[in-house]
Amino acid sequence: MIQINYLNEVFELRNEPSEIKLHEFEKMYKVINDESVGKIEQYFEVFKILGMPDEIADHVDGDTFLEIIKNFNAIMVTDEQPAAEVEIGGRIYRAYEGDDFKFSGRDLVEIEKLAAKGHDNFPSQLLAIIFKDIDLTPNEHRNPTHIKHKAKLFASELTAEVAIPYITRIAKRTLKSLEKANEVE
Amino acid sequence: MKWSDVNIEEFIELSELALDELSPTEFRLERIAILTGELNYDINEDEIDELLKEWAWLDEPIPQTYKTEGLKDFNTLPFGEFISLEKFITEKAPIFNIDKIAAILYFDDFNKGLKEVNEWSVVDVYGAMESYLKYRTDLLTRINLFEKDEQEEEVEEDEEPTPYTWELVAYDLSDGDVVKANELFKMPHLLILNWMMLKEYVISRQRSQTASNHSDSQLNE
Repeated sequence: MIQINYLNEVFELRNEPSEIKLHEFEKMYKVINDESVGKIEQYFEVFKILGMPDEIADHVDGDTFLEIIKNFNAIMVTDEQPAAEVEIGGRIYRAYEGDDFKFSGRDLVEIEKLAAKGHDNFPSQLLAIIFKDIDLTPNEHRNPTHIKHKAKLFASELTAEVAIPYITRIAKRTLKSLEKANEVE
Repeated sequence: MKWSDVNIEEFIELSELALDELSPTEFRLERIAILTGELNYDINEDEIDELLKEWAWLDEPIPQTYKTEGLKDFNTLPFGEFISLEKFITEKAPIFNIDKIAAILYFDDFNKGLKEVNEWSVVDVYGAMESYLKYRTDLLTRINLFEKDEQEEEVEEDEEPTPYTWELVAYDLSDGDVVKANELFKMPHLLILNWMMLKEYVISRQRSQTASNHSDSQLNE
C-alpha cells in the first residue's frame, strides 16, 4: 500500500499484486497493453482503476507522481514460482503437482488460441485453463462453458498475484517461439 | 526422418493444414502426427520443445533436386497436357495439386501416374514442379496473349466479355469442330501458342487497316 497525502487527506493506493483483484488487474492489463496511450497516461488510468480520486491524479505534483510510479509494483513481471493451488468456496483448483510448473500440450494449444482472440479478460481465462477443479474429469474441465464460468469466478475472487507469474511464463514462451521462428527465416 | 522420407500424399496433407485455423503449437504437433500417425497432447512444454527440435527439418525448404528419369521435355508437351497443367496450376495453389502435376509431367497415362506418384518421395517431384512453373511463367510472359492494349479494349467495349479459357482457344482454332479440336490437343503446345500469336497479329493488323480506311473516308467527305 502506498500512502499519498493530499491536502489534509491520506489516500491509500494499493500497489502490490496481492492487493489487486484480478478483474481490476484485467482493466489495468488492457491499459498497459494499449500502445496508443503514453506511459504516464497509462499510469494515470491504472491509478484511477484502483480508485485514486481525480483530484489527486489531476493535482499531484510531478515529483510525487514519479515517486508513486517508482513504488508501484503491481505491473511488474516476475520469475517467482506460480501458485500450485487456489481454494475458492471450498473447492480446490490445482495447476500442477510437484516442484515446478510446466504447461501441458493441451493447455498450450488452448492458451495460444485464447491469446490470438485478444480478449480483455485474458488473465482470468488463462487461469481458468491452467487451474483445474480437482473434483472434475479432464473432459468436464475442458468444457467451454465451465471454463467461461470459472474465469468469471477467478476474476472476482483471485488477485493479480496469482496471475502475474503465469502471464510472465506464457509471455516468455511466446517470445522464445518468435525468436526461433525468426532464426528459421 | 527428413524430407526425402515424406511421400507426395503426406506432403499434400501437410500442405493442407490450415495455419490460420490452428494455434502455432497445434500446427506443429499436427504436422508430426501426419507423418507418425500419433498425436499426443498429454506431454509437457519441455517434451514438446524436444519433439519440435527433432522435427525442425519440417521448417526447412524442400531440396530442389528432382527425378529426371521419365520427366517429359516441357517444350514438347502436347497442347492437351498443357491445358490440364494450366487447370491444376490455377484452380488452387500448385502444391495442393502436386500429385496431378507430377502425373502429367512423368506419365502418359494420367490415372496410372496419379496412383504411382503418391508413393514417390516429395523430393523426387517438388523441384520438377518448380521447374515447370518457371517454364510456364517465362512462356506466358513472352507470348503475352491475354493482355489487350487500350485500342483493342475500346473496340470490344460493346461486345460481351468472354472468359479466355484454353478450351475456347481450341474451339476457336478448330472452328468449333470437336474432331479437329481433339487433333489440336495432341499437337505440341508451342505450335498452338505460336499459331494463336499469329492469329492475334493478323486480327490486330486488320483492325489497324480498318481504322485507317475509316479516317481516310472521313477526310474525303
